Amino acid sequence: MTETTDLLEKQELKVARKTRMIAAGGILGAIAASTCCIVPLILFSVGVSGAWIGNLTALEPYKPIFITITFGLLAYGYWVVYRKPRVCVDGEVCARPLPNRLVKISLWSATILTFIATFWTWIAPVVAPILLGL
Amino acid sequence: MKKILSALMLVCTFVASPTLAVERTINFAVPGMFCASCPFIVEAAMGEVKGVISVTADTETRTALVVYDDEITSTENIAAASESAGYEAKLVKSGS
Repeated sequence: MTETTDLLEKQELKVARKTRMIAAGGILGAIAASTCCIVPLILFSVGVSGAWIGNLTALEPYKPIFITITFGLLAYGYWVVYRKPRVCVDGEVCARPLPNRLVKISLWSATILTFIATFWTWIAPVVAPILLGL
Repeated sequence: MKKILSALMLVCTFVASPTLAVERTINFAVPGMFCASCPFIVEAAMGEVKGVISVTADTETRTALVVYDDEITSTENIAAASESAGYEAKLVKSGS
């Protein structure tokens, strides 16, 4: 009985760690996807400038790669967090740990940011003049 | 009387003329202007320079058309403003 409980706890920890890693990966991917185009605008609108900003813009050709990887990570993350619990059979290890709120918030935030980065071509002409006071 | 009026008009023309002939239009090549928000940043950066009247940046041609007062600022100042925002600007054409 104790062995089964230990095994369950180990599996719970493993899944929890995996979801956290996926959420962190999703956030990093979303930031990478928005680095070229959204970040320079935000920095400039808050008064941060410098020739180094041109290096961020140079990442634009890699944006589709970042977006694809991030959406892949997020899809897997949602599957891990929101998948239907399996029916438990006696003697089988099938506990599903409850994902914590931080992981869910991270997943949803990364999703929103990635969607904004994806459709930035159409969003920028609306947002940029407002932020820059043009 | 007519002569006095004509002389007065001539004087007014000479006094007013320096404020009319200093607007210049120049074209900058901005090769780093890749993204959708880049032209807005370039417009804002160049537009902040005192003496710049208008800026129209285009992502497709990666150019910025600037109308400025050459008594107040210079092309070097405008290019430097763009570069300090992260976008190198090179003068490609000088107009009127």
